[in-house]
Amino acid sequence: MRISAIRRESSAGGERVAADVVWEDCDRPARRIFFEVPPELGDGLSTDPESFAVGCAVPAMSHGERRLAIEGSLCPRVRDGLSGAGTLLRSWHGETFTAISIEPSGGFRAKTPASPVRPALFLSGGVDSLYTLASNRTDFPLDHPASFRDAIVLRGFSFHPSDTSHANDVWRRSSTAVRTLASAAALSPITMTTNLREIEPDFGLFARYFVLLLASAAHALARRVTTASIAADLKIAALFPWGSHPLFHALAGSSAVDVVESGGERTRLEKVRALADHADLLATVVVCQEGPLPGDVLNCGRCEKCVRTLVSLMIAGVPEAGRKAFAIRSVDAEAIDRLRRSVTPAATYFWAEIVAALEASGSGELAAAGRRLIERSLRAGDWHAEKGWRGRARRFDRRHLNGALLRASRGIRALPRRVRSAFR
Amino acid sequence: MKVERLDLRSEGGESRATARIQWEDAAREPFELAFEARGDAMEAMRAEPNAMLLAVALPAMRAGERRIAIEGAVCPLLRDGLAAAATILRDWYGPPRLLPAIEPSAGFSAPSPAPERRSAGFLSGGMDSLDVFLHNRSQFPAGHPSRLAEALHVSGLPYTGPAASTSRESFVARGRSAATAMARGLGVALTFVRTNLADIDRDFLFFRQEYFGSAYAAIAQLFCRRFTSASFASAHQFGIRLDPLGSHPLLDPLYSTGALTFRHEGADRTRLQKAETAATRPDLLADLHVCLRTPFEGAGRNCGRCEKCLHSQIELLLAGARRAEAAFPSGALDAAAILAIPADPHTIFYWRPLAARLLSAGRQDLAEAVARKVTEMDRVRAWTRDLGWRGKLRRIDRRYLGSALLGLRRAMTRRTGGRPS
Repeated sequence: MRISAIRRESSAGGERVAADVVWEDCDRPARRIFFEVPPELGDGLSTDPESFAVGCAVPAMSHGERRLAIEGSLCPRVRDGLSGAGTLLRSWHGETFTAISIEPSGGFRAKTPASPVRPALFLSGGVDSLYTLASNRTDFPLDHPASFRDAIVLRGFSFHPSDTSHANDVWRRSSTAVRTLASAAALSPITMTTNLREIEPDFGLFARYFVLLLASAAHALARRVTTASIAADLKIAALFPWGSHPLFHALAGSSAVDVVESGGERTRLEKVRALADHADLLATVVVCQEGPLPGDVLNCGRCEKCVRTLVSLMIAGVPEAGRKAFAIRSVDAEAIDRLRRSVTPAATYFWAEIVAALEASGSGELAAAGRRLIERSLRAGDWHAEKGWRGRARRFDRRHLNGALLRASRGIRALPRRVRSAFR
Repeated sequence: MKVERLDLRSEGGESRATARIQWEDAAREPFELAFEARGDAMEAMRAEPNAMLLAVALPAMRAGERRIAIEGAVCPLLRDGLAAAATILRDWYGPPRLLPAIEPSAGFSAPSPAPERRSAGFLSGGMDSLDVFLHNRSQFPAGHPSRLAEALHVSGLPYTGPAASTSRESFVARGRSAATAMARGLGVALTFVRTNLADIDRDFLFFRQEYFGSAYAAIAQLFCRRFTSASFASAHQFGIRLDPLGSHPLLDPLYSTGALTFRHEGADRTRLQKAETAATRPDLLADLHVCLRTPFEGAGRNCGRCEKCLHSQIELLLAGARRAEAAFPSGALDAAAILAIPADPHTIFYWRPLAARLLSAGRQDLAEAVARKVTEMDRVRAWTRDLGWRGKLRRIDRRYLGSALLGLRRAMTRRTGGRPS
């Protein structure tokens, strides 16, 4: 992979740093990758190569590129970090991630951090980042060097690049919420847009290293930001190979920008409990990734993430008025039972503590529904891991029938929709 | 537990930070925890509550204390970090491992960092810490805030015997002389810290498996008025070794405060890479101190025949390190010495890559000995982890036969005079 022409440029949306990314050893399209901020924040952008190296290295490793040739001088801490991240990924996922040689045209040179120190956090408006913000505001006086000054909200991060209307709607809600939050919490909001996901649109791969994408955005702001906090999504002991594994954070920093994980000492439910007294923060919470949603609705209240958060808020004793960020403010067993399509293997982790808390509080029906959801989640896990006779059938289909059974199954499932549309 | 009478005194060219530890739930005598500093940073040392808390938190947890009432203010970042560390340790080693409630008399508030960013590193005199310094120097020019501008050398960790005993003094003297020579060679200011911290819990397994990261972090936090970051050399290697250990890339960052970041450094490099880095400075190699045996007969800093001395010598040999032999007794490295060491499966990751490399380097004698030792280590590991058919049998014996088979085997071994029949 070759990354060149790193430059600062103006665009209709603001100021950018951009670079041309070309694949050398695999047949993938060249891209112009950028990080864009509003014009008034352009001075914080860095044209150093760290952001592009950190953002592009793992895709390069996963597609068999032999090197990452990049323009400019690169921080040696980034070289070491990317090498460590590659080793970790290989040890977790096998040799699908090759070792690459990192070749900066200007050699390796330490970068000087911006002065004075300026910590930022990635603020999505979700429970994890709200908890990190609340903790920081409680723990540090505003003039302490560790007190957050900036809130980075990143567009183009988590969705498939072509999924625009959906992503745009989530962005609209998220950025609105963050602007409100930032103003209330004496933070400067930095709305940043990137098309970095175009380098690697595959969600499966993205899930294995996404913290590095967040880190790359922080490096793009190296003339302003000295520390970037990323809220932990899992409790630190509940670790498995995952894109936000805390080992990645120390590997994602440079001599100019430290990347740290925050909030790993608490589970999601514990964070919700800690936020229960922060009505101002909960009024703008955005957990929902569904969309587009109508008008000023922040969260649909129906999806798995919304339902899980609502139940957590109920357990934490947040009154219905405190759940006004949700279109539906209460959850019953039926709402949990309705969750089918969106139940993933990860749901087991989040719902286990919720079910335990519901049982402890005597909410038997909700707890039973939660247990049923966990069973569905475990089944989904088995499906992904191709366990049992279904797994054997899938493997047989893939190997010997070229996916014919899968196509037939999808066709049969799509029949009702086709029939409906034929009669419309 | 009560941590009180935090005090700092400076006299006779030495600063001494102390705290009195009173156990509340464990039936143990009160203990005066002491840190004595001598050298460039000694005047910046303070009897920091965060440092004292880090020193006692995990021993208090192990002893079943329900709270740690500590004089002064505690950084909320450290409070959360310790909670996370306890969670990790519980996950690794099992319950209870409940962190005592932390009750600072002045509440929770973040200390302010030193006005200028300044980095220090721990210099033991061993290969990992030498690598941290050499690697850092290759990365950061003088004056850069990430450049390790100063070194800390600690005497008293781990527990190597009672105060003034030959075993302790021998270990301390060898470590100090190695660090002094290396610091001079590296051109870095050195501060010695002597502590009785290891006396708070003398169990080496606890020190190694759970505690030593926080023990060293405690010492770093004593100097948070001078340093904003302190680096501690990793014994891990990403992709090769990330098993539970008292200093770990997951644990160490959790021992940071609002004033000082505790960095775990070097896990991205293998031992052989570290030896190669060390080989670039032949002037420092004669000063290496890698040996944990104490005391031992003979001169020099390293016995040359223990497990750590042996794999270090091989690594340096493979790295083509000139003058490395000066650090070890002449002729210490041979096949017989390798075959004589106990097969400790915890250290297998050091040994596994060596056989093939030795063979390529034309040292078939050593390669064969290393290969045999690795096989032996694998066998011990399979045994301790209940792997293979023997492991299955042991599990069945434990679960269904109340360990009758094990008892029978032991009885037979006793009857045959210790030889397995």
